[in-house]
Order: sequence, then structure tokens, then C-alpha cells
Amino acid sequence: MLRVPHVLVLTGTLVLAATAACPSAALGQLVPRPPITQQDWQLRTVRESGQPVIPIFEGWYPEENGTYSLCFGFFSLNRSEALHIPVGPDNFIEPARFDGSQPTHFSPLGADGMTREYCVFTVNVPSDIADERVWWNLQVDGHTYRVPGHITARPWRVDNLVNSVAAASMGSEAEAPVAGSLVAPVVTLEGASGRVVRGKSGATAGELTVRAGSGLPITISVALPEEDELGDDLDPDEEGVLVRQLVKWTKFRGPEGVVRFSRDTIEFELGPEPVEQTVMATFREPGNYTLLAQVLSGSFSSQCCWTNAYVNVRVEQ
Amino acid sequence: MGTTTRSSRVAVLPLQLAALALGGLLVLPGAAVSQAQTEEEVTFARDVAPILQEKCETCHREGSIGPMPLTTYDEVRPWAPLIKEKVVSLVMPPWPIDRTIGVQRFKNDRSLSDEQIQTISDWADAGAPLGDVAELPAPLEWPEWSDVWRFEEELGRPPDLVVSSPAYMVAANSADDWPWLESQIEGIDEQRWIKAAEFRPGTADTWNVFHHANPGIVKLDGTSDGSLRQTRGNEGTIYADDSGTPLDPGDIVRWNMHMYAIDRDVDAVLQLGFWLYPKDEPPTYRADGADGFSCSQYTGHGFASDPLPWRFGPELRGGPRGLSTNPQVVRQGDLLLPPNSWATYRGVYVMDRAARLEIARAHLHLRGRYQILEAVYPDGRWEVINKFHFDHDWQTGFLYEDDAMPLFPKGTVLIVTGVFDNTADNPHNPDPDQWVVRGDRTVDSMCHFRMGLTYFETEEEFQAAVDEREALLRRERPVSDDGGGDE
Repeated sequence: MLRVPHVLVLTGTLVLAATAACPSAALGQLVPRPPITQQDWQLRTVRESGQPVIPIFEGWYPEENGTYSLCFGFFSLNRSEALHIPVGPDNFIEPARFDGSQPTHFSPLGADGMTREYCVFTVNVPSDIADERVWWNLQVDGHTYRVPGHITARPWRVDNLVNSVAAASMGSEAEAPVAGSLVAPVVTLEGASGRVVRGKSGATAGELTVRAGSGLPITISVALPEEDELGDDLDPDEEGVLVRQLVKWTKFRGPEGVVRFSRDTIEFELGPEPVEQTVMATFREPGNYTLLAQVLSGSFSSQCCWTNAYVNVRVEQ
Repeated sequence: MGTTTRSSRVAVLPLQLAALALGGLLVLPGAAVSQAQTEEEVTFARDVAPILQEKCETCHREGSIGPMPLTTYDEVRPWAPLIKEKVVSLVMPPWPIDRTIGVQRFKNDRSLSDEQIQTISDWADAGAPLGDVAELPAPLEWPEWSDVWRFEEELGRPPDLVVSSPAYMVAANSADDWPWLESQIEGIDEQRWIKAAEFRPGTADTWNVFHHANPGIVKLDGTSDGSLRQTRGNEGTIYADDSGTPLDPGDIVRWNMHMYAIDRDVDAVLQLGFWLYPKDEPPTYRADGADGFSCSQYTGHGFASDPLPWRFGPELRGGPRGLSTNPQVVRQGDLLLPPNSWATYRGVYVMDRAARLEIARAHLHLRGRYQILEAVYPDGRWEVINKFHFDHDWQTGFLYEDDAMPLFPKGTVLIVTGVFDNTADNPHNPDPDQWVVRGDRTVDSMCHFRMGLTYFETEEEFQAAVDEREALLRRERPVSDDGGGDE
């Protein structure tokens, strides 16, 4: 596990280096830390650096093919420090057949106050998963933080493509929300493979290529779903109704060190026509990266609805 | 039919513990208890039935929300051991507050007295005898659900105005939802002042999908009064006799509710009943019931000034959930509850004006166990106002009696401590292996404290209230000749 001083990297005042774990980690090797239940105060306290990142189970939803997807996010307790935890003994999912889709880059708290990274990846499990649990394990400074995902509890059921309950109310006496605000948008990754994706399960496009230190423009096209994709409960909005959207870019996987985006978040309004949004990504270190764009029409906290779009980038020396 | 005796001992555990703290006064079963017993038989007909009618039947009757009716001996008898367990452990009637510390006088107190608990306990232990049927109280005639207003007895009349929400279908097995509903308030043609507001499900089935609602009165200029915040298990608000909130022609109710699905479709309807002050007789004070504070301000989490999800407007989801106009109320107070652990959070609120606390309500979600409200006064005195137990199903708003409402001078520091139990011992916990975070969903958690405060316009007004309270206390506790109190 590597720690990266996020703010300094962004300002370019520090040459990135793969620093070892912070001094507290070294101390931890000499003085065993108390069990989790006795270190709550430290755990809960957000500090500039030196704190862990906690895996969070967000919920589950059924897929059209009868399988299920489990949603995981994470909660960083560091204001300035990003963590880099490669897939392996410090970052793994069990049972092992579900391992491999998790992130390796863990952003610090955003400047906008967002402490959570909501459902940044999903694990697809078979229809006969029953009550089996899927554990995401992270090890930070010698301590393991793990969380189980499962489909056994209804309260963790989340919507994926359409906010089902709100959509069901569209015909009621209630003031009808804008239909487009209740659906995961359609995202097309321009300049990559042109792949179209919708929902949290996401898809990966690429691979784009750029030289280290050079800016890479990445354009996505965002559109509302076609009428026949809205489901039975939703009627299309009248023409001219705009729906606010958000694009949130983060590094998902890759070599240690952060990726600098020209804008971490982009807000815009979306009508009947697709809207293109471009971000400039700059990579200091060569290697293979995966970036994540979360395109949101609802709210993260209510777990619906957004689209996860992943972009592979190969950075050459 | 068995026979038992009525004893004078107090069997409620928390009070025993309090007695212990007071210096070895703990009452233990044994010879001393026997000496205190009388020979009077405890029966259902004479002793238990009146208690059930007074404190239990409103929920435990056909068509109401209780899981079983408790209106006749035949209905009650099979449940006698469970009834004893529930009342002795203070689980029922739901009155989730520590009875051994803090203010204990409330307008909506639905708890049993120690004597009533003892009676039920003794009766159950004796085999739940019926007794003389001639002593049975006359059966109560309960009106239909739609005709019951709990505040009617306290206020002497049904509400002057009833507003219903639009019907809202909560689909079976769907995700949590926060529908955005509004209702026009009809029936007033000039400004009126609200004395009380009772909130209830419009149908018994609505109860099954109702998490909470924060109804607010929206004015023509778009401002909103959020003083009517409600939760599952909470009846509403009765303001002090000299305070209230205004209601104007054209106002609307914005329901701002949180619903969660069960295994069948439910058409949900919520209702607000308003009791109004007489025309041309507005109260002295305007109550501000919207103040509250987060438990996590003190931990370093409550720093967010414009958290991302709230940027979206009401047309998207959930309404204008921007920051409170009160800078001390932080909406993004994050929480993190480790798995299989207990956790505590603490928040601080500094009174920038003198005020009177009329209503208090804890809010913690499924892992919450209790919240403690403490006050540190400007002169250095400190006291516990109350320790609120938390039951997700009975998120009670505690309405202090007018002459028991805590008075806080300007500069008082209020401290709230939230205690969470994310272990398997918590019967509400759906999965103790989870890391639990702050969130709107039922399975996520919150920790904030809601207060119904009435602010005093001037220090003189506050001092007058203090003087009045002290005079009242002197009347209740006359000063003896030696200058000491009567304790």
C-alpha cells in the first residue's frame, strides 16, 4: 500500500515518488494496535493523511439476465492523501472467483466535501448466489478492513437504470418529477471505441494512448434514454425540459500517483439532444490506467441513478 | 384462577439502579418485600383492564396498528407473560426515554406508572386471573382510525383543519424513496396561528411503509417553515400556551417524506391536523421548531459547506435540501460505524439567543441506541436534560409540559451524544458485519438531534420566564423556616 500526498501532486510542487507507508505504519509494526473496537475515535477522525480507507457495501440490484450486481464504494478518512493499493494480498475480493474488478486508487476527500465514493464498481454474481457473501478486503498499515456484499437483505436493494418508486408515482396525484431525472443516462465514449453504456455496472472502453506529461482530451456524449428504454412507468418528458447532470471523473486504477483532470466535476443541463463533455487528463507516470466517469442524473445518497463509464489509457514514456 | 397480592415494591429495573446510586436503597426481593405486600387481590377485571384501556387499546384494537387486540380478557390472557415482559422492560407502551435522569414531565407521556407496571407484573405472575366480571370497566367505543386524533383529549376538541397528502403508491419490494409531495391548505381566509399539529398516517397500512416525513409549511414567497418535522412513532407538536407558528392563506404543506417498501404495494396517505389559536388572538412567541444539530460536528466531519448531492434542485430529487440557514446545523455530518462494534458521536450547539426548549427528538436510524442531551450554562453549571432511548419504530417527539420546558440562557452550550450499537445484539440491525455510513436510506445511519425552540426577543423576557419558573418551584417546594428546601 502506498500513500500519495494528493494536494502537492496537483500543484506540481513535488515530484511523485513511491513513498513507503507513513511513520505511523512503522510504529504500528512495533506496537500492536488495539482491535477495531478500541480505536474507533481514531478511525472516525478525518485527518490530512495517515488514515485508512474503508470499503463500503452500497447495495445490490438484479440484472436482466437473472444475475445480480453488488455495488461497492469506499470512504476515505484522508483529506489530502490518496492511497494506492494494488490488487493482491492487500486488496482482494473473496471468494476468489469474484476478484479483480476493484479499484486500486483511493482518492482523498474531495474539496467539495464529498467523503464517500459511491458504487465505484460492481461484482456480478450468479442467480444462484443465495446467501453467499462476497467480501471486499483492504489492508492498510497492517489492519484489514472488510465488508460483505450480499443479496439477502431487501433494504440494500437499490435501483440501477430507473428510480422505480419515484417512477411509479408519475401517474399519481403527486407533483410529477421530470422523467429524465429518474434514469441513468446513456453515455457514449467518443474517441475510444464508441462504446455505449448505461447504469452502474458500467463498461470499459479504450484503449487511448498518450505520452506522460501530455494532456489527453477525453470526450463523452451524454443522452437521455430512448422512450422504449424508460420502462412502463415513465413517460418521456415534454420537449425542452432540461435535466441537470453531473460528470465526476476519478482515477480508478493504474500506477501510483494521481491523474490530474482539468475539471474533476462538470455540471450541465441535458435536453432531448445529446451533449458532449470533454475533460483533459494529464498523467505523470507511464503505465496502464483506468479512469472512471460517473454520470449522474439523480443523487448519490439515494443510490440512483447514474452510469459508470470506465476508460482505459496507456501512458507511454 | 390464581390469586396474588399487590405489593408496594418497584420492579422497574432502571429505578432500582437509581436507588442504588442514591445510597444502598435498592429494593431486593425477599422478606422485606413480603412485609410490604398487602392482601388485596390483583385481577384483570378491576386492576388490569382499566390500565389497558387507558394506555394500550388505542393501538391494540381491531383496525389499529398493534399486532394483536387487547380489549377483552380472552384477547389478553394468552399474552399475559409477554405483556409483563414488555412493560417491565419498558418496551411497551413505547416511551423511549430514561426515567431515572433528566426532565420527566411531558404532555404526551404514554408510559405506565411504576404502580401500573407492578400491577400488571403481579397479575401475570399470579396466572392472570379474571376476577369479578362485574368489576370490568365498560368497553370503550373506539372510532374508526380516520376519526382518531390523539391530541383531541389534551386539547379538548378535534383539529380545526385537516390537510391530506396526495395518495402515493409505494411499490412492493422497491428501494427506499423520498417522494416530493405538496398539498394546498384550504379553509383559511386570514392569518391564523397554529397551536398544535398532529401528524398521522391516513390509513393503517401507511404505517407499514412510513419512515418519516418532515412536513413544512411553504409560504407564498417560497420560504419554508420546517417546524413540523415528524417521524414514525411521533404524533406531532403541541406548542406552549404562549407560542405557535403562523398559517397564511395560500400556504401549502410540503410533505418531504421518506418511505420504504414492504412485500406488497401500499397506497400511502399522510394527514396533518391543525389546532388553531382563536382569530385575533395570536400567541406571544413564534416557535421555531426547525433547529437541530448533528452529532458529528465535533469529530471533524462536519465541515462540508456545499456537499455535492444537495446542489441539485427540487425538480430532480428530494427538494431543496440545501444547508440550514442556521450555520451550526451541518447537513453532511458524516458517520462511520465499524462492524460488530459500538460507536459514539458527539455534537455541540451554542445558543446564540435565550430560548425555551419545547420539543426534543432523537434521530439515529437502525443502529441507534440512545442520545444524551446535556447543557452547560454560562455560569458553569452542567446538567443532563434527558437521555433519549432510540427505537427506530418509535421515534418519539417529547413534548415538555409548559412549566417543565428547559430554559437556556444565551451562551448555553448544548451537547448531544449519540450512541450506536452495530452488533448482533441490536435487534434492529440488519447486518452487523457492515461498515455503516451516513446516508438517507434506512440501512445507512444518521445522528442528529431536533429541537423545538422558542426564542425570547429580549433578555428581559427570558428573565421573566426564569422568574416565573422559580416562583412556581417555590410554590411546589416551599422554603422551610431554616431556609432549606423540603427535600
